Amino acid sequence: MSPDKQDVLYGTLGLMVLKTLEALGPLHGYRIARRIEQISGNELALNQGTLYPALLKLEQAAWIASAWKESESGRRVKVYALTKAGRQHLRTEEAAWQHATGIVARFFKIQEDVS
Amino acid sequence: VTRLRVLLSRVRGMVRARDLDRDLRQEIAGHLDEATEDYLRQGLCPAEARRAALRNFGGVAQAEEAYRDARAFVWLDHLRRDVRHGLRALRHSAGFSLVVLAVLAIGTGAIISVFVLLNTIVLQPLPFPQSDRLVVVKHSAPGLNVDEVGLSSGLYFHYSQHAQSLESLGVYTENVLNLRVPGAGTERVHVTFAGAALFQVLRARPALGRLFTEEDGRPGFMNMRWTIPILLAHDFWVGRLGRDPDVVGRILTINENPRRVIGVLPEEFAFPDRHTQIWMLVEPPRVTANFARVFNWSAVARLHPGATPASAQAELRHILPQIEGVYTDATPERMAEVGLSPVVVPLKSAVIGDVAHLLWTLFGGMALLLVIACANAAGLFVVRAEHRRREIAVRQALGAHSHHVARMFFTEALVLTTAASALGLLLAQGLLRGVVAFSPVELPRTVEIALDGVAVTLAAGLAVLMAAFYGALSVRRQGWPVTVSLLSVGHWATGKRAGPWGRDPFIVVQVALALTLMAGSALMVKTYRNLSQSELGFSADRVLTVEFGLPSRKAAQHARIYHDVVERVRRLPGVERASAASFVPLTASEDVFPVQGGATPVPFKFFLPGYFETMATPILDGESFAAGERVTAPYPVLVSAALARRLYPGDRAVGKAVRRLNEDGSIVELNAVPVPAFTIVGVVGDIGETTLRRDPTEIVYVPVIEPRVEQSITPTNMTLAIRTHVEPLALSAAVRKAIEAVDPGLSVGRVRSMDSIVRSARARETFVGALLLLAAAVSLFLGVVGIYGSVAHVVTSRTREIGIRMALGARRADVVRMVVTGSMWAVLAGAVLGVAVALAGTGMLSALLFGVEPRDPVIFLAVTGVLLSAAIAAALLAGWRAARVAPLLAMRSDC
Repeated sequence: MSPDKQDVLYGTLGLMVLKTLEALGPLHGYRIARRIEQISGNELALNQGTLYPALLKLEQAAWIASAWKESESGRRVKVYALTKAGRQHLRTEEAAWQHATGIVARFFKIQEDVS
Repeated sequence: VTRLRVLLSRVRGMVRARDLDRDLRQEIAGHLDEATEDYLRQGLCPAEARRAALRNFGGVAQAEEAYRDARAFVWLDHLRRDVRHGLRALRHSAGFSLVVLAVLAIGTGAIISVFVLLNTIVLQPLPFPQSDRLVVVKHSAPGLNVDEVGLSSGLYFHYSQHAQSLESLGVYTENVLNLRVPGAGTERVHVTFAGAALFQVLRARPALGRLFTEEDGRPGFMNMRWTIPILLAHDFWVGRLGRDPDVVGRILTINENPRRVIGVLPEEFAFPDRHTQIWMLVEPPRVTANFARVFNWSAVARLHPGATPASAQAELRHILPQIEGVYTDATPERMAEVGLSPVVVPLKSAVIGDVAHLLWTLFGGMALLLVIACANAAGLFVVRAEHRRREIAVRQALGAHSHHVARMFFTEALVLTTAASALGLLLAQGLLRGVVAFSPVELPRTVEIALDGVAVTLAAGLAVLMAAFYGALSVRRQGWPVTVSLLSVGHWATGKRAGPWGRDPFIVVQVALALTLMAGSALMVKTYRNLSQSELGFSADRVLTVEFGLPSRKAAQHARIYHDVVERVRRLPGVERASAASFVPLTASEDVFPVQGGATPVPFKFFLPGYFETMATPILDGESFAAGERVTAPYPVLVSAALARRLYPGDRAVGKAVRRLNEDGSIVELNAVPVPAFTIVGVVGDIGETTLRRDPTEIVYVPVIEPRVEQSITPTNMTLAIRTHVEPLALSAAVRKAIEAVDPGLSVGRVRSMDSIVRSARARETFVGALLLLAAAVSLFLGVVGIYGSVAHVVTSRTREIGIRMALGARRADVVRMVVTGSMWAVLAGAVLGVAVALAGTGMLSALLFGVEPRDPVIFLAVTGVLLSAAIAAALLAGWRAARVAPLLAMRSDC
């Protein structure tokens, strides 16, 4: 792995999973991992193993639901899907995230202005 | 809401751990397969594709671990793992585990069982509502030469009317009456005559029907056509009346009179004690009320909120003088003479009596045993901790932190102590059953005794405390932070690097406390022997005693009926001798027939000719009233040697005249004619008529013969004394039949062997003595084993040193001396401490002792001697084994 890759920001992995599921519909673990890596332009060093505890936590909170299904390659895989509660949670989190990054962005902007 | 959901799914995760584990593995395998396939498509060779997939996944085991942590509760998982590990470690050293388990189970079982007894009998409130406000009212009356008296009818009315601190005052007296059962003859029943207010005072509720009310007393006891109401005890209702649901309103015939059942008390109700089967309404008669003629009423009162027993007592003392002149006998002179003073004590202390003291004594003994057991196990834990230094060093080398090691020790200790406590609970359960079923002591409140939440809490608390102690002890042996170097363990470690927490302090504790327990139990054994060997004054071998009663309407024929009964019984096969008296030895209550004979009142005992012959009581002087012997003196009586000594010191009692007097000292008259004086015709050897502990009883023995000797008292309760050729109780049915054959109106009471009466007179001492003796034996055993183990341990840890010394020419004796003296210091220190503790503690026993001082020097010397020699023997045995170590083997040994 190249050293310039970023570690996944703590706590954002769940959000990425939810967003992925919202965009692509039900997926199994490997597809979710690949999708996150692709979206980030392979700039995120996702330790794919860490995805599973994150999925479990999301499921425990009932934001996603899982079911065993057949994959395109004919394997039995656990497919995760966004629930109604998950969709709602994603929206509030998204708004909060935008808000927070907006504030931070403004700070960076001010610094540029000063310099 | 989300939190709750997470919690729930975690609980689910915990329960379904195995299924979920399988799912996870399957999911991860699928993930890796897909990744591998992707890489294959990119053109990598199979092996490389697989490697790349694994690399991107980043550690399957870590992922699984993190997943599991999120799934359930981490700490619980850890605990489970630690416990499993602890169990494995304990199984590895099964010997250690079993010994610790047994030792601690004995200690906890003993303390729990005695604690449950103490808690239910002494600490818990009585089973009456707001029972802390219930008090007993009685009097001390120094002028009457008796310990305590109850209330006279006059005092009852006086207090009911004037005492402000008493909310209500209930009176009662106990009696044994005849109940006629249609078609089943007559039987004796324990009846408590109860004033109407008694059940209000106790705030009892009926199980059936209703209780007495003030209105019940109104019709008046002089009205002959009124049927007096009675209440039934639950056991009596179930046992004798077959739980008859229509019992309310039924008429029972008691002492030839109809009585109407108006209610049944609930099962748990017992007052004054479990013996009462029937409560009959009674009202102290107002017309004949007096100040100080008869004090036959026991009284229980409910205090007003805010009043205390002390304040109530002060108030009663204050209002007592106002009774002067209210009753004809309440004259200033009589009041001064009697010297009456009210005493108010909590009902609970009256019910429990001195059992509280007995139980506290036992509790103390069992606490000592528990400490000894704990100290014993502590020694084992210390050794085990040392033996595990190598294991700990390996663990540390592999990366275990100090707190990992500590957690391991604590969990192991907890597993052991929890198991020991659980075993202890089982043991306590058994002990309690035994005590309730076979206890020689009549304990109050036994129905309430059971292992309850308190007992379980105590067991759990003990387990945690002991685990904390042993865990800390084990960790301390490794040092903190735990740094055991592999190099420091094994090879050239010599000497007994005993830190401040080696085995020695535990030896000191064990020896000291074992000595204390042994001293206590030796004192009780001595007491028991003194009581067994104290002169009974009669022979209890093969004697059957049968209590029977005469209906009062047949009082005039009592002499003929009693003689007929005795004659019939004498003719039964298996009977050697038979006679009867008002009571047999050791069963008299204090106030039987109180009369004046000289200055102090003495009891009277009626007897039939042949009684002393049957009991094998020696006649020291004069006539013996043997069966068939004729006595010519007018109104002949016998007196006990003790009474003869007091009345006629230095003179012969036989031939002297003695009179029964009224309580006021006047001569007894019958139909306005003075009753003639008795002639003393013989002196009877001393007998303990009431207890084994008192001085010989001063008593007058009145024969039941024609013409009547004592004219104003008719004995209506008699006890047959039958000396048999066979096992006494085998004759009880035949005797019962013989009594019935003489007169079906006669009722039969308790049937006991004289032997069992003597045994129960020693019951309390036997009970405490046996339990303390058991505790002492266990503690001596533990102490000796502990000392042996300690010396043996020193030997193993110094094997190499011993080997070198022997190789350099030390003799066996030197080695033994070296090893033994090392441990003897702890033993000696323990003995000194033990003697000190015992000297301070045995005073607690003094109320139970008889014929021996609590600091009896012989007993202390003997006990110390026994303990020391046992200790030395144990140490020598271990040392002798040490001396057989072969030098070469020892130097090569690796421990």
